[in-house]
This record gives sequence, C-alpha cells and structure tokens, in this order.
Amino acid sequence: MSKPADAGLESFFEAGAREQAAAAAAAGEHERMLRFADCRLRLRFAGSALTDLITTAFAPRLLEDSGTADATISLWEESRVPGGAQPVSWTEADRGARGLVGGAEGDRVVAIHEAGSMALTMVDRDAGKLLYRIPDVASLPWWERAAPLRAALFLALGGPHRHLVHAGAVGDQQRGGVLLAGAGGSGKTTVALASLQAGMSYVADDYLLLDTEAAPVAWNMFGIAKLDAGHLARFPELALETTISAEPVPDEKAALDVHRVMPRALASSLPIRAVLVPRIRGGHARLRPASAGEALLALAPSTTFQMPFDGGRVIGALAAVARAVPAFALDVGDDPSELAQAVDRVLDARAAGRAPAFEPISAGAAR
Amino acid sequence: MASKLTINPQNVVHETIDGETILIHLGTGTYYSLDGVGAQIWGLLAAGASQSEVAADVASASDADRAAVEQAVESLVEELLREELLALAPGDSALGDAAPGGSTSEPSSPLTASESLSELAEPEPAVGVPFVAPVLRKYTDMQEFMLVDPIHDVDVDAGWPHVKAG
Repeated sequence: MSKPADAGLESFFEAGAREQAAAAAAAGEHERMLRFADCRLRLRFAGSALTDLITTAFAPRLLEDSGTADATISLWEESRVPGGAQPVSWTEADRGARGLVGGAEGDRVVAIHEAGSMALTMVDRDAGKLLYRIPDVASLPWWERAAPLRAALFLALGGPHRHLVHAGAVGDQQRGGVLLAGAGGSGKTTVALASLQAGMSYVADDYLLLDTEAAPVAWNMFGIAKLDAGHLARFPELALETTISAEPVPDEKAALDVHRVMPRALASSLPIRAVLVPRIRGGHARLRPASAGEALLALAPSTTFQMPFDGGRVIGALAAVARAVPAFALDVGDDPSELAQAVDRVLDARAAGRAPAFEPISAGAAR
Repeated sequence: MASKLTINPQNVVHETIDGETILIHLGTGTYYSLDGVGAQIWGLLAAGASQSEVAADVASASDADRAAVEQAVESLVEELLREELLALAPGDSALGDAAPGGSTSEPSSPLTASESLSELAEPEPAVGVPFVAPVLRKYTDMQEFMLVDPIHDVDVDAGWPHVKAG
C-alpha cells in the first residue's frame, strides 16, 4: 500500500478544521458534551441536522455542563461547506483496512475514510482533536445513524486499558453483567433484547467501551439497539417501538431507542462477571462450558477486523478479560425468555461462587 | 528449513490463553486457532526458536519419535508460511536460526540471555504425553470486512470516492 506523506495528512487536517469552521459559520455552531467512563468529549457541530442525529444516538451519554474536555470532535457535512468541500488528498490505493490512511507508528495524523458511508474521520494525536465529515445527513446509511462515530471514538477513547469493542453487555447492578461475544448474527442482540424484555439492565447489544484496568467493566456508548427481521418477529412488543427509514434499503435494521423507550433499563456501566458466547441453535436454550480460548475467539476477530486502527493491539485487553472471568457458550433456542433465564443462571452462579447448571432451560421453569 | 522464521510483523496479531492460541491476519480477514502441541509450537516459534529447536523441545515432552515430531513441525511451519502467519526473515541467516516474532501486546521483543524458550512458550506439556499432530484451524467468515466497498460500491463513472446510487 502506498501511503501519502504524513505531512500531507497534517495539512489536510488543518484545511479540514478550517472547512468545518466555515460550515459552522454558515449553518450555525452547536456544542454538546459527552461522557464515556471517565473521558469527556466535546462535540462541535456545524448545523442542527447533524447535531440532532448524533445527539439522538448518544442521548445516554450527554452532559449538561460545558466544562473541560479530554478531546474535541468537530463535525460537519460536506453539503454545508460554502463553496464546496475539499477533495481528499489520497487515492483508493492509499486506503488500508476499513479505510485507514496513514496510521504508522509515530504518525501524528491518521485518517479513516469509510467506504459505504463515506464518513471521514481524522485525528491529530498530539492535539487531542478529531474531525468527522460526512457528505450529508440525508444520505447517511442506517448503520452510521444508529452507531455513529465509531472510528472517532475508537481513537479518542482508546488507551492501554480502555477499548471500544464489538460486544454486548446485560445484567444488573447487584450481580453485575455478562459480556456477549461473537460475530454479527451470532445472537448477541437476541440475548440482549431478551434480557432487556425480562427487566435486566442493558449496556449494549453491539458496541461498548471495555475498561480492563482492574476487574473488567463494560460502559455504555450508544442508546440505540439495531433489530433485524428476526428480532422484530421474536420481540413483537419491542418491535412496536422501533423506527426505520422512510425508504429502507435491503437488510436495513430497525432502530430501538432504548434510552427513550426504556430509560431505566439502560445502564451506564456494568462490572463483567462472565463472557457469554451465544450461537443460534433452536430448540431450548442451554448453557455449556467454554474455554477462555473460545471466549477470545469470539471476542477478538470481530473487534479487530471491524476496527483495525490500532494494529490489533486490542487482542491483549480482550485476552485479559478472558483470563479474568469464566466463559460459557449459550445455545440460543426458540424462546427468548429462556435466554434471560440463562443470563440469570450465570449471574446467580457467579454471585454464589459456583458453576451454573448446564441442563437445557425450560421456558416454564422459575427463574 | 534453512532460513530464519519470523512472525509476520505487519499483519499478524496473536494471543495464547490456557493452551489455545488465536491468530489474526489483519491483511486477509482470516483468523486461526491452535491448541495442544500446535499452541506449544507457535509459542516456541514466537519466542524465537528455530524449527529444529522446536522439534527437539516438542519431542522431549512427548512419547513420539523424533522423526514423527520433525515431520509434524515441518508440516505446520509450511502451513503457517503458506497462510502468511510466518515469514522468512530478510537478510543473512544461519542454518536453523529463528528471528523472534511479535506478540500482539509486546511486538518483536527479542529473547534475553536469561530467558529460556520453554519459559516463554506456552503451554508446557508434561513429559511423555501422547503426541497428537497439530491442526491449524482456519476461519474465513469475517473476510467480508477486508473486502468492503471500494470495489463493489464505487460509482464506475465518477470513480472513488463516489458511491454508486441506490
């Protein structure tokens, strides 16, 4: 892969910052503060449409104050730039995995230009400043609307003991939570929604911030869960609360605004007591023992391939979690209520310091 | 194998946990697992052992004869090279030498004089355990993440970065 000189990225970053300022002057400047774990982010928007979009996705993380920030993200739409946005200074050949441009050890500025959404994220590592540019709000794909800024947050929040990971987490404040590990389609969202419906706390069904400095803790990032057709059929009551685009594209998922619909269920964080690896099976739900290696195999590849911006170093933190807590496989059956019972079994067993029962779970059994 | 071996430092991250090794190739979207003697061999290679040192170490800890172990190690090393998880180190090399490869968290740390290979490699099997030839399990279900969009989603007329309408 040929790579443009870092100096080129630096000048493009500076030009981008000027572009955002011009867009903000034209469309109106808005500021919001977000908090993720102990990290405070300032978001500076150009225009109200982008402000509303991002604010909805991050509603649980909004702060009322406007104090100091650990990093600042400046956001704008190309369509709001007077005279038009500057073209990117790299070619398709310069783009690495997931749109990464630059990113070599020691590069001050890194760009991530995502195909599909065409969202451009840039970070100046020394200054703690990030830029996020999209073509326009109206053309933003559904996945970026439901979980925006993933690349920016990966870069802004990531550290030796804190990582944005592809995983879910549910549980409660008394017993803690389970980390739901697996690739897309493995059943993470199904288990998260079943737990949500059963009255448990929800941190995430897809992406969360994982703190591994001491005992692992999962922190909420987004307020929206994404439901496919199977989820809508399994969870008809929750399906009534979802929204979808006026003209949905094939495979578009419906959005469940958990923060708005079930605000008390959304937990800011949960200490992680176990890793749960769901797999769609049918029949009755059933827990099975799983090795730490199985947990890591479920956690690491999907996070690393979706967000390879740190060269895969996240695998070390994920291994630390797999070493710290036990892992269980969960055969995802046909009855969602059995999945919540499975989560209960794991958390009860962990609270009691024993292994959970591994016989199949019956929907009629007492939890 | 007459050349130095090294873990592909640009594209491969790996972790070994409780005797299971997970390997991720960032360039291809493929990931792998090794357990048992396979994880032991990987650990030794990651610690900088040569192929012959690996074979000697594995043979000493198992009930298999040296030739069978050498054959199994050679076969696995060839597969690891074919999958670009291992690479031949550039530059001059002495017969049978190995270049320490990068682990995920601490890339490319060479062995120090006080460290032994068996201390760094995990897991450490009991002496005399039955020898089971290593199997590299390969998973390709996430390659889609590496094959995204530029080719499929770019507007043919306008070119990158313009996305196809609809």
